Amino acid sequence: MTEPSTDRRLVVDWLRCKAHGLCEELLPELITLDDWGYPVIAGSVPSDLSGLAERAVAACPALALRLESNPPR
Amino acid sequence: MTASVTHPGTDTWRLAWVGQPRLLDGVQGRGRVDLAAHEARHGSLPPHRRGRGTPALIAALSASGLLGRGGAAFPFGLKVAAVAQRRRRPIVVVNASEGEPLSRKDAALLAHVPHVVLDGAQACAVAVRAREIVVVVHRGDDAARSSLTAALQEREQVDHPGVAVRVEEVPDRYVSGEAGAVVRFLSGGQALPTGPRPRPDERGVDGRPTLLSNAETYAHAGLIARYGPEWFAGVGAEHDPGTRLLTVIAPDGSTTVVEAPTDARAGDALAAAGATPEQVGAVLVGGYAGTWLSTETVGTISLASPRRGSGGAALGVGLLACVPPGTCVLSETARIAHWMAGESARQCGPCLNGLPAIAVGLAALAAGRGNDDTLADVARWCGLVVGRGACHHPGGVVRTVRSALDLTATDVVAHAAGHPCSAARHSGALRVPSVALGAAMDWR
Repeated sequence: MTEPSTDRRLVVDWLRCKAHGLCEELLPELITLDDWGYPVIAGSVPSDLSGLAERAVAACPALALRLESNPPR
Repeated sequence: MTASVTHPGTDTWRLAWVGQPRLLDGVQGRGRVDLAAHEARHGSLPPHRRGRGTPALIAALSASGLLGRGGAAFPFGLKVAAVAQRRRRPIVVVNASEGEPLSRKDAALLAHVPHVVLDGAQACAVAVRAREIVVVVHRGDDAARSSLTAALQEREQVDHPGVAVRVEEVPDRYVSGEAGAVVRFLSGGQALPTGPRPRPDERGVDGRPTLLSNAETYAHAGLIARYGPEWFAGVGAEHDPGTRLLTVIAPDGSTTVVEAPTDARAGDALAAAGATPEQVGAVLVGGYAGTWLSTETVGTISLASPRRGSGGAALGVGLLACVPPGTCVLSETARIAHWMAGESARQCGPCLNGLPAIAVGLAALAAGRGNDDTLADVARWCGLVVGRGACHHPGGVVRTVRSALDLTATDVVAHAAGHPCSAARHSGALRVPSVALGAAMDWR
């Protein structure tokens, strides 16, 4: 069992993302890179990774990563 | 129960119908229905629905159950109501850009019955207080353009005062007809998809609330304004009533635009176009971003949009493209994927990189130059492009690719083992445009 998820998830703005890959370096627990260097996000942000997720968002040079509330179930 | 007329233009198609035509009523023996013939048949647009009391039209559209005919099947009444309640003055956009290369239904509508479309746009414009209608066609669509221009001249005297109509041409690109791309283009930008937000009804052309729908949707709305919602829902499927237009490509490559009630079967539309089951090897349903189905399956599917969650094959823009028996569907799909990769707006990484990779992998498999690893790569890349972009272009390509792999499962194994089917050597059953280099980057 992983930590309980927060109600937030990471969302990529595909029009902005330029495959810099910083997000994966900062948050490999949640982000892997595809064959071409673009992020693949695994699920919601667990509470213990909340801080790192915010850092990854802030670090993106293309401003292509953001945190969004999960849609209500 | 079918009849047909032949469109005389260079870009040729036939018209046919299953049961009683509604949109295409009156084209028999005429080809193009001018304003005099149109009004002789339908009367003039009811004045009480042209001017005040227009919320009646919105209620009628909602009650009719009309779903958008551009592929997304969104309830049109809801869309109009959303635009009508905005504070800023809205604009009405009639999307006849028809970026799907084999589709001719919107071109046929404008070429043969332009006034049915313009009536609907007029009625909707008045209902949402719009003073401006833009009809969008794609560049080079001369049949639609010239008929439309003539229709606007014919209507000059009769149209509702204060609603101006103009025609705009978007670049002839696959994704340029996508709603966001049309809005961006009409706002002075490039005809490129913008992502799902903001929706056009919130902030569309020049930031104004925008009622944007497919040309056929407006055509049905114009008839609903005249004859009412009960009449409209008198034929067709309960959850998606009325008739709809389909473009049928017969196995010999000929094009027929068919009007049929939505509760008819795809087999009825194929028959109306003269495509008998024994001539058909497989059918690409919905467009290049569609679903390959076997002849047996396609004959029985409903023409109505699938109910949400049913997993049925979506007819999308209403294309049924047949290939003859013995066609290598894998090879045809490789050609489609290659062209679709070239039609990427090149804005989003997964689409820009993934679609060419998929196309190259498929081409290798089709030619017998691939192996199990190629197949595994193609499957993985398909998973990597779906839902990872600003528009649905990559997801649409993947739908076609996966359906081809499903349909040809046993053949694919043979292809991957280096034994392509003999048909793979002479593919080309389905018309696919040639990939335009250089000019392909023009988005204005």
